[in-house]
Amino acid sequence: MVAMLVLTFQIGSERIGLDIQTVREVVPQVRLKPLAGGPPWLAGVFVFRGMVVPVLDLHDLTGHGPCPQHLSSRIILIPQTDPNTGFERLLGLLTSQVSELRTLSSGFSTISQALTPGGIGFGMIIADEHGILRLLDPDKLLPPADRERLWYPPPEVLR
Amino acid sequence: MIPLATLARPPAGTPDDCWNHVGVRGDRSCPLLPPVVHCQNCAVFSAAGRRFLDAPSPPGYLDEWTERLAVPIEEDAADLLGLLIFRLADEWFALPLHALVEVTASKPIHRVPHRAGILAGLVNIRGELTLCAHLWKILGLPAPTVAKAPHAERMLVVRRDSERWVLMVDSIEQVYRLPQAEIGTAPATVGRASGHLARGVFAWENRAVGLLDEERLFEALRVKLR
Repeated sequence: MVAMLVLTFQIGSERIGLDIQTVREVVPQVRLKPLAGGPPWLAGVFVFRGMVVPVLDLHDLTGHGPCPQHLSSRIILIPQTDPNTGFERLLGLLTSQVSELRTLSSGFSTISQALTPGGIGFGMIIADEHGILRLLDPDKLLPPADRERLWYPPPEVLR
Repeated sequence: MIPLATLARPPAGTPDDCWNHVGVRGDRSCPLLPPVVHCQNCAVFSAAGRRFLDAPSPPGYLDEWTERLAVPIEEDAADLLGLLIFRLADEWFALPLHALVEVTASKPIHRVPHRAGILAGLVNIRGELTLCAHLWKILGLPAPTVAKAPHAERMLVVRRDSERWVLMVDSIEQVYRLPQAEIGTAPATVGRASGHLARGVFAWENRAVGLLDEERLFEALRVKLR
């Protein structure tokens, strides 16, 4: 595997990295609008440059309670393909201590995490000089059935 | 696990903002300073920065960012087309800026004997004789009557590769940056020559402006001069 630049953040005691090629933009934490009747894993939505963007609270998803309101808490915007229409949509990931970009050199030691069905996936486990880093796989964040629900109705209606 | 940087503490006996006391903004007596040269390379300094970012956000912070991010951004400069909008008779046209060389005040036109049609004559542009064409004839507009505001008349110097032309217009409005998406197709009812020279129309200050296609315009100039 070639060297990879990752954006690191912290959830509880775990350090998580996200390949920056999957990141569109990082924005400060905002006030999220909860959706009444929405799925429990959806923290809420916010308006980003005229578009409604759903946000997942990674702290809440992993059972660490709501993400703290710190200056270092950020929303990471990742582009996702809407399975219904094929359009690209943004998905926000709210998490804390989004503070560093690290280069993972090639040949790092990894172990693949066995995913529990229905659970969220943090992907590979990597050892670097500071210990253990989990590499988040955005495609495994939600079970496929939930991902489809995320993007309904189609974008033309939402805009 | 806490990242190592947050564990770095200032040397014993110095305040938390050690960089103001024994560091580069103080008396530089810090024992940690020589190896790192500047406080900004020091783990203590970055740990303090990290502690600052881990502080709760101030009141109003969330609301301010919620509001700021909701505002749509201006169109990307990449798909803005720079245009010069001008008037000819009572119609408005626009030409892409990259086809323009300069705009000058009206100059005397030296007529060429035995040539009529679209060629108005020759104009001296900075010592260079340049062909001047009647744009109204190319566009199929009615012949101009006496100009209402002769002082507003301008000459556009346009260029494609090595070809240069002078076009007379009745007035210049402004340079305008048009988002490409706002270019609409010219109405099919436009039967005149301007119909096929137009790349499209767009709305500007409640007026419909015809966007001229510079390639087709030069083609028309060349064909008609033969």
